[in-house]
Amino acid sequence: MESPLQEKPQDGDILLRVAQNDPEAMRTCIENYGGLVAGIVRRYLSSPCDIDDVVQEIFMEIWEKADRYDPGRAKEATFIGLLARRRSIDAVRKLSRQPDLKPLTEEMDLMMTTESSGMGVDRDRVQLAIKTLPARTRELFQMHFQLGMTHPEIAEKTNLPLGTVKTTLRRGLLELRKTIKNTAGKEALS
Amino acid sequence: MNSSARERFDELDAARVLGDITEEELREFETLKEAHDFEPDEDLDWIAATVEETYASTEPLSSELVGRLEEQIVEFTEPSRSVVAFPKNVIQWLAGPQLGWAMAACLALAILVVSTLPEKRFDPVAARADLLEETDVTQLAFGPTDEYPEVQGDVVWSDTRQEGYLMLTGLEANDASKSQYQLWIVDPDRDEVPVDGGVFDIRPGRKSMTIPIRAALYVERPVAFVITEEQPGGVVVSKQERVAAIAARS
Repeated sequence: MESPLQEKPQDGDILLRVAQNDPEAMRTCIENYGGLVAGIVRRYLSSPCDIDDVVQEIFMEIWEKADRYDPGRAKEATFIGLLARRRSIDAVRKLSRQPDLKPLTEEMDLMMTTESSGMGVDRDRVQLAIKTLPARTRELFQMHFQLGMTHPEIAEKTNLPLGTVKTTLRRGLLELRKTIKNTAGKEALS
Repeated sequence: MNSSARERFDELDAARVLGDITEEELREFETLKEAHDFEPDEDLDWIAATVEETYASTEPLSSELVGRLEEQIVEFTEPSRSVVAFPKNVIQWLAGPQLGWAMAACLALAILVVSTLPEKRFDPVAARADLLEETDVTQLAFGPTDEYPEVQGDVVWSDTRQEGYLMLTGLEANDASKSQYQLWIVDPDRDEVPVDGGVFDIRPGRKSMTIPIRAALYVERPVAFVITEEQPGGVVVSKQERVAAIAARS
């Protein structure tokens, strides 16, 4: 499986041009990141119609929020991936009639990342941090993030109680934050 | 700070990011947030997005979706706020006898701040055909300029509907990162300065394009439509250095 980050050019100014309503940049954005967005959405949804609708909504959101993108703080793919992930989760929750999380995420400005928090959230650091997690947590991360399995599916596959699956994933994410924060702090001192 | 409350809030915040927070947990999250002035941590969102991206594989977009996204681009490509002033040499050129634009002499150092009009998703070719059924439609042919000798086409405009379309062939594709085409509507009855009609692109390989006019202001009786090539996003003050096509009443 090939990562989209390895095959796509890191064109840092695409979103800056999208923010200026540049239609050619919007096309380039779709060409470069359409596959990533669709890949993320597909992990959450199965109906082709739902997938297409959500991908379209995500690109609308990208157009609207492109002016919040700061290339000094995150890669374009990460910014787009974050929007795709949030929108996909919203779609799943809507389909399963769970409360909408949009009011919570809408108030976030998408600016609050590496520099502002003192953390360096980049792919290399995250990959290194994942390696420090317990094997069981890494396995669940892979099922959740890579295979797109729901928590009940993970529970069934692993024979773990559903509550354990949830707690393991939640604490694993918090552990990643702690590890990345420590790493960033050490690097800042060295 | 209550550390157990903080720990619980963090766990619920992680649940929010993972998308598995239940209704009951969401209420608890809101309660803790209010009671302790806690804030959700967007770093968790960024970490989850990076993990997701690390594991991500790509999926091709369906051709139907690509078409929808292309329509979406049209929706979002609305005219920028523009101010235009025509320099003296252009005024003289515009006021030449072949065009009969006496009013063009007044187009100096004018400032026009405009707002954009909301756009519905539509098929511009069908919309143009529909507009041609109206009785008050003005239809003017575009003539080429020295720099753009291949340009042909026309403009249709309805004063009543305040709606119009450019149909163009032979206009060379632009590199949107370097320049964009911009339409100006000359309406001396309304004002001495032309109205911004929107910025648009000609994509490579497109022989003919129908482009909706996005008049930023109410146009009463346009006498000419001028297409210029400007910097990306359009210009505040047009130097009219590159005039691509003109359609004018005789």
